Amino acid sequence: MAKDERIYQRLTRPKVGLASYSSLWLGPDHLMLVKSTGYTEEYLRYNFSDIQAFMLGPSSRRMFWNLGWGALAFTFGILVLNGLLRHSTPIASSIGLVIVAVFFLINYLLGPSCSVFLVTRVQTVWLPIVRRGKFDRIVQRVQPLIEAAQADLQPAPEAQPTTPPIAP
Amino acid sequence: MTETAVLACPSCKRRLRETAWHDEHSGRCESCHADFEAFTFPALRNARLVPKPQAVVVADDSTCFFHAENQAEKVCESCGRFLCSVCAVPFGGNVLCPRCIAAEKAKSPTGITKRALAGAIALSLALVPLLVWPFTVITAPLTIGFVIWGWNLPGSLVRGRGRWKMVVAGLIALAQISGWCFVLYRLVRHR
Repeated sequence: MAKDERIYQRLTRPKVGLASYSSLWLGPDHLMLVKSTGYTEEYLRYNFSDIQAFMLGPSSRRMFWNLGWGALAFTFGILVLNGLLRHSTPIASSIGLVIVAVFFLINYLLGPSCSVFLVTRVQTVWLPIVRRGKFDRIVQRVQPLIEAAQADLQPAPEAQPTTPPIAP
Repeated sequence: MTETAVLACPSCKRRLRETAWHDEHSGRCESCHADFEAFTFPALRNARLVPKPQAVVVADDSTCFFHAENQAEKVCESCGRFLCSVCAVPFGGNVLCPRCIAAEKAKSPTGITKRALAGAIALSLALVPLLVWPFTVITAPLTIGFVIWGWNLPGSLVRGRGRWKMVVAGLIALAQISGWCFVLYRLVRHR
């Protein structure tokens, strides 16, 4: 990558989608969504002047991860308990339990999950932002830039009603 | 709130009615009953004034290079062509015509829409054939050739060239070629 191409700052790490993974980057006057298959990258740009809104919806991501880690922790917990009841030292199960417990805690501490969409006049795009805390930090960063880019917009004129043609 | 007419629920994608909103920034969709939040910007309600071109009035008037029926109002600061108000586009602090904008975008990183990741391709070319190792007799030289050809290709716009992947792929391919040379040498020697 040439030096003059280093104009983008990363906003999110890659998030897995359908057959690809997406990440969000901040450009000089736009947001860029990078969709990568591992062998090719596609760059989708959204100018600050075109962004109408960010929409946030609920997501069950955190709950599913909690369930997954919880189920693993329960399994390891059973193995540890079984080992202790048999007066043995369940080292491997204990290590597994600790690792799973750490991941469970990390998932909990990362905060609530969400799904975020960027809205323009012609499209609504899913953004790879999955945690509410991350979204708040990103909005804090880009909101002033977007509002500055849209400072010169005027209220849209009222649409004139069309009169139907008079039948001959 | 008039903007509810154009915003859709992020969960069910149905248009949000005015009654779905609790306040300016949040509400509950009446279709799927999911809570939502909205961070809106002036572009939702406002728009940029679309310049209306002036038609040519007098035959001797200067006309737009791209629209002969429109009066020329500005000059492209790159190529000097006369432009009507539609074709005169502010770009990077200058007023340019559409062709010059396309040329500028092609030179700038902001005009790039797609890139192939040569490093990842080289690494896959070196590693994947190991699953069916006899194919490495063909793919190893191909990998070396690809590494040489693709060494100076531009890589990811955001993550760099990934030249380390090319180096690793080249080393793996060289090891494969060495292995095949050794096998060939043993075969010839045992005859």
